[in-house]
Amino acid sequence: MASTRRELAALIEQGAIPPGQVGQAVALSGLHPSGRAWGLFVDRLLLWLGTLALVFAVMFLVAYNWSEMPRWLRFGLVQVALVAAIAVYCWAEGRGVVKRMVARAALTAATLLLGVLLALFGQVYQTGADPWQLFCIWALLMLPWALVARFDALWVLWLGLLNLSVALYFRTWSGAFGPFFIGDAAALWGLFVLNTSALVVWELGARRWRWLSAGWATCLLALGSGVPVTLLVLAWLFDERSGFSAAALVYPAWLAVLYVVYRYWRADLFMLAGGCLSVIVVVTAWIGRYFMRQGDPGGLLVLAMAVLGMGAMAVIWLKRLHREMSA
Amino acid sequence: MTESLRERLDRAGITLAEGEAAPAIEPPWFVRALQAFSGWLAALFLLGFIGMGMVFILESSIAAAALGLVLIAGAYALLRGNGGDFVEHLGLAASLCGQLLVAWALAHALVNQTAGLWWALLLLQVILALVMPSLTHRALSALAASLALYMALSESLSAAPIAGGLMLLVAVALWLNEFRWPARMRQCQALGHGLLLGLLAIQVMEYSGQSLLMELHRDGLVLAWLAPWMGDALATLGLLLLLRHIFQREAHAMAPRVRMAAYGAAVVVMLLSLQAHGLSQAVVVITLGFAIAHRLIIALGVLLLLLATANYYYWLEVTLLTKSATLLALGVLLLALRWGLQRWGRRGDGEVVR
Repeated sequence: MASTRRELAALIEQGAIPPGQVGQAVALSGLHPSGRAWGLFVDRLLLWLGTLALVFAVMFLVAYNWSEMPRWLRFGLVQVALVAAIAVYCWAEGRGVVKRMVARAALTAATLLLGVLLALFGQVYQTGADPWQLFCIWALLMLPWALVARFDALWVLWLGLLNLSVALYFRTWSGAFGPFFIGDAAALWGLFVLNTSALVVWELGARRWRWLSAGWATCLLALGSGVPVTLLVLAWLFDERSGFSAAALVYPAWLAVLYVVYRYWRADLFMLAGGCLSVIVVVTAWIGRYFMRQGDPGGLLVLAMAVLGMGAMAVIWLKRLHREMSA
Repeated sequence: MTESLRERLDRAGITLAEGEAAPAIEPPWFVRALQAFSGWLAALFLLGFIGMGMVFILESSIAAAALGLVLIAGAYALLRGNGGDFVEHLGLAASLCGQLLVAWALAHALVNQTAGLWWALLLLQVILALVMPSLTHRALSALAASLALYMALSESLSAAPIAGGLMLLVAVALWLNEFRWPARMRQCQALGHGLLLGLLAIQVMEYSGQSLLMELHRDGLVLAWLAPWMGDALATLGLLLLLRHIFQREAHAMAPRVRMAAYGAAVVVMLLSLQAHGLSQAVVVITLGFAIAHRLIIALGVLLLLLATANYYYWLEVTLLTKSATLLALGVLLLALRWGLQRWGRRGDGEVVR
């Protein structure tokens, strides 16, 4: 879909298509969806919006905390909805490929309802549990469904829950690891390790299972890996007290692996662009730290030029790679 | 270029002019985003340099405005020269720095007229979006113009929600006509991207900054009361325009019954938007993205849908119980509609086979 659009736009921009025939060329290119594609789009839109509206209806009802509604009725309502979603999944899965999207929607609904059930449990019994425990238990309990679903969005949801658990865990227990970790840094390390491991497993899995090969999920995981490690390096650069940090070793290694993997093993411009952005931010911070100590206004001009130079070099390189990859 | 597209065009009698080189494929959006980010960062450092090293410029509105305009004019000259990526970066940074200086001067000159300041900035951004010879700059200016319009409507008429509807309407018109003027295609697309990003930024502001703007709402002003609904009405108008365009394009494939059902669905979406503001905008953006086969716009629409849901959750006019009942009715209605359409489709197929 996207490549037809790009190719057509490139031809029009270059003037390869006579201006008088552009409209006809657009119509013939297959860019715009056919009647059948529209039918499928409307069908899926109705399925997903309808399913999510029902799930949110249950969620909003639980959030309302209706005191006149007995607790057994509230639990019963959520559990019936959960069982109904699983029943729809079993029915749709039995019908094979024809109902695969229905099965996926039903299992996603069941997963979300599981979270609602856990939240209701905490609301009614006032367990006093930390928020990270809710997300962690939710992730553990939904794992079997994620395993059988063969659906990338459900795995992303699972990883999202784990990310939340890790971040909240370290926020709750910051300082528990003594002098080695300090609060947010521990959370950033946790997120970096989790997302980097998940990215590696995902990339390897995508070579075996086709349903894992959608690019958006790996892009999200790469962001989840790159943002924490970049923040760790920035924290190290601006922390006057710290002499050495593991981030100083891990960051260059991460960049090198990113480059080798997404330049030669599986070419992906998005990942390389993310790496460039990270380098620009870190190098700018490094130069900025030096000039901040000097207090010289001229340093800001140097910083502006450095950013311009790095940005231009990155864009030139990425454009060249893009031409290579498109060839 | 893939063979299939060339073959398809050849078969239809469209002869492609053979150039020496293969057509240059436009770099993806994130390369432009990287360019915009580094341009902005450099502009901030430049402004810091002027602020610290040449304080007298910031102390005088006239000097700041003059230097700002010179920088913008210089950026225009640089960008017009098409001197490569570094020059484009430099032009972008100079222009953004110039805009910040002009905004600074305007803020000093219009110190008691906040609405006037935002209208003036809107005018500046519209001019830049239309004339600057850089696609990244056009997109950034369109985004800035969206935000300026939002603030101007908020300050002068307490009618900020209208901005989103207006932006969406213009964006729909631009995207539906992106190939109408081949020489202006890229400019149309850049403005369309900027406006849709502006719409997303407006929704985020609505979501996170509602309390900040609340005090600006003047009691008794009819327009302020009507604004949220006017915003949704404009979005619905955008949806109707989009549907009309699709039906004209697919005239042979769309039965009158389908058209009536689609227009009916547009009215239902508008009615729902009266409660969940922003829902109609999300539906329009998703449908637009699919209609023009643009995945990034579909993703933007999904983000808008999530924001509209979050806005609905925190909307204080009705209780969560009422919202739950509304969502239940909506879910049942949508799934029943899907079931009906499938049955209808199967019957139609059966008739064709017979």
